[in-house]
Amino acid sequence: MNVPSFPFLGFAILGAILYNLLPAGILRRGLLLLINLIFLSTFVHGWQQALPYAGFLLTGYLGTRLLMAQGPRWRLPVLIAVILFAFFWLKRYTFIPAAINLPFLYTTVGLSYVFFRVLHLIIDSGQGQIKERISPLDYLNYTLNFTALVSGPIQFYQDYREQERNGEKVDLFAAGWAAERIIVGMFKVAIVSTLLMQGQKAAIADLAVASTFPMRVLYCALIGAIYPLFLYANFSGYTDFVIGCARLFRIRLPENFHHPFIAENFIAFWSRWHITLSNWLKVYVYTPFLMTAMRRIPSPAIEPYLAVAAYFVTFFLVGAWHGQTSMFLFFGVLQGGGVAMNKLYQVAMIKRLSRKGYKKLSAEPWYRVFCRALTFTWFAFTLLWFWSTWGQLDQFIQQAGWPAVACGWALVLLVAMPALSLLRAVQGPIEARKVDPAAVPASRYWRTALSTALLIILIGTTVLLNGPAPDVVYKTF
Amino acid sequence: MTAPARRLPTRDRYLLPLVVLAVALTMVIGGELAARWWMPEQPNDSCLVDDSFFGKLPRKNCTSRTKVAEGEWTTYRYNECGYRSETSCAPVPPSTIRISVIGASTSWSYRIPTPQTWWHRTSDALSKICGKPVDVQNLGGVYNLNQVARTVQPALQLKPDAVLMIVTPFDLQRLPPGDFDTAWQPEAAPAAPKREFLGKIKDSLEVSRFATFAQHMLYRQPESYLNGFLGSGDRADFLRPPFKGEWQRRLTFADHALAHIAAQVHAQGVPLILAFVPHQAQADILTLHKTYPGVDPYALDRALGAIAARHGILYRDLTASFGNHENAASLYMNVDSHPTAAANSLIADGMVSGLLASSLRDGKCSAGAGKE
Repeated sequence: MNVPSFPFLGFAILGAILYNLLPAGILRRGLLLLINLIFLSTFVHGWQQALPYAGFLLTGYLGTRLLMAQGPRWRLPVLIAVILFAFFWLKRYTFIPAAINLPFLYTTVGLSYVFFRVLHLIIDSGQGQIKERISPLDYLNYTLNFTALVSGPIQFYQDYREQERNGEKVDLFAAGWAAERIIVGMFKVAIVSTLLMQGQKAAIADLAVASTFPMRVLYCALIGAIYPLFLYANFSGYTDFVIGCARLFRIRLPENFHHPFIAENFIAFWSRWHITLSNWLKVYVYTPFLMTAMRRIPSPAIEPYLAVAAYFVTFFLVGAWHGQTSMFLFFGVLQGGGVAMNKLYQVAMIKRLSRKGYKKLSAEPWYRVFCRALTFTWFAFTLLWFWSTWGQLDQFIQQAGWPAVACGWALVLLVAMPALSLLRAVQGPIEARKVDPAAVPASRYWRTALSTALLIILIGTTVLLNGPAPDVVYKTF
Repeated sequence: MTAPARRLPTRDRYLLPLVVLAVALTMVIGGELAARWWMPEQPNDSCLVDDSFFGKLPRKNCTSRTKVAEGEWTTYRYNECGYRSETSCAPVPPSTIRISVIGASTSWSYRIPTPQTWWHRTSDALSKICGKPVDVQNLGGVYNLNQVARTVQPALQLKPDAVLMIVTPFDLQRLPPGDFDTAWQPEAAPAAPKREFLGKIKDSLEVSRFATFAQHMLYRQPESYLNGFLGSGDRADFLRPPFKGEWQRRLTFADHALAHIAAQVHAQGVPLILAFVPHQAQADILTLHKTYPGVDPYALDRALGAIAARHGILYRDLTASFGNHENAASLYMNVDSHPTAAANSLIADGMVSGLLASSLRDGKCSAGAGKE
């Protein structure tokens, strides 16, 4: 079952009606488990395909229970290593010897996100952050939550349990809010991201036959600049959709995006893009890494550079997590490198201008416009290693030539400056909550009208295209 | 977008559904208006007048302008004989090659501007190849084969060097009941039955330009088109050999009609070239390189080819050239189902090769004599 899609939506609505009709407690949680398992079963063809998944979940559960009991401290690192190995093994990372791979096909849908949830439970249980006993029912409902199984968002267990116990009733207002998120999400995935993908494909095809230098520059710029917009529409659309669906089950999933393209530096960008993944890694990689390093090298002069290293490691992992090939490793290097360079630059600028001077510079409008565009351009550039292959990159360079490639990126930077300033002008007040809820853009009448229009376009397009729902890029991770 | 923090006021329980309704209505009406603006239509040909045998016949020396929603604005010029032609139907000098076109709507180049029609392109190409002026008189129309047979004598009276005709699956599908009959007379159209509620909705959808636009977009995708067409019963049965009773009857009808037409044309020593223009479904199947159980995209072509061969007709099957086109769906006005200007170009190529393979009367332009 594709997410988002009308069949999934129908399934979720039906499940939500039954869920909300049942009294809170074991019955409701039991129904949720049934729904979660039914959804998972749509990706499984034969019981054998489900065994590795079940084994991974069982290992996670036994580990969590073991860590909750009193015992020696070495259990935590050992269990973390076991879970890490099991994940890399099941996902067939290239550094795992092929000889030990399982010799049959098995389901791995959403395994990356299940892995984050399981590892979080293991670590928090080992560190005493989770006090209550986790029942098998709660464990499965948390790790297999069907609304967030395929591509997140990654919710922490404590947050999930709180939502599940004391979730807000689904009244008309909440249902309307959920409907709006669902429609906007589906529209972004089915219409906006599809159009952007078609645009990028057309630019790639046109580059191959472009005869003049200005056209080659233009196509290079389009190929690079469209993909981040596509990925945003695709992934944030998915997230909007699942957040809306989860709300019908009284669960508020965490947000994954927060106007990422108005970020004014790469560190800030990652606090707005795939937020739950970067948060997870900040909690379980960045902070422990930095704390350990600071304990071992207790020097105030070195401290900022330790943060640079911690940033690099964290965001290298963010990038490398996306796939098993050298492309994704390099993508990780560019993410980690970008964030680390950003931090180094901040440290250097503070040294040079003083904290006050750097703050003043950062408030300059021209500087903000430039930094915003540079952040977008860098992200778009790094994504080349996310969506293409070494061979394809070589082909682009052959077709366009280095000067056109360089000018293409310069064009992206130039156009991003006014475009993102305009975006900032629109999104800034919304982000700062400066928009009056009764004002036209924020009023529920306007939003209802807009959602209705989007829904009609969506249904019309779906009927016309008569094809399968478009895929979400992050489904494969 | 922030999470809900308050309850819905009571008035909104009425206002919000009204907003939804208003938007839906606005979009439906707006969509229809936009579609009418985007795809204007002028279906009536002001030159056509009622005729007891042909249904409609063009007035002589008349010009009209029409447009089908999916096509371009088309100017029809009818000469002093009432034939669609840029030239007079008066006798031509011996050095001019004259071609008569007979047949149904595709022969007539229904809703295609004259410079883009297959017969105009054929004339241009042949003129270049033969180094002589080529005059085309098109006697086609929205006719069945009984009516087409009635146009053969007028076509031959023009002293043509060749007679060209196109046949399509649709031409066979809309044949009158019974067999080919030279004494056939059209029946009076029965009074339209009173439509029920659902029928009225269907009628209104058929006149909705937005529905046409939506269908057009849908049918441009070969998979979507085939999904609908292959399940449409009799209409699609020409793709499924061996042919069932009705398609067998239609082939027999065509056999007799073509025998009658060929006999008259050949009696004058004029070559008759018949081109088969495929249905969009045939072209789509070939474009997709897919096989469908029981479906043979060439079944009807072969059957007509055998009929043509029996009657000494030079036959050109254009199915493969349509199927080899990179975007076969663009060769058709997908809802109207007539070929587009691009398809007329392919038809012209087929006709030129047919003409060059034939010996034009008096050897005016044999393939060997041409300056290609």
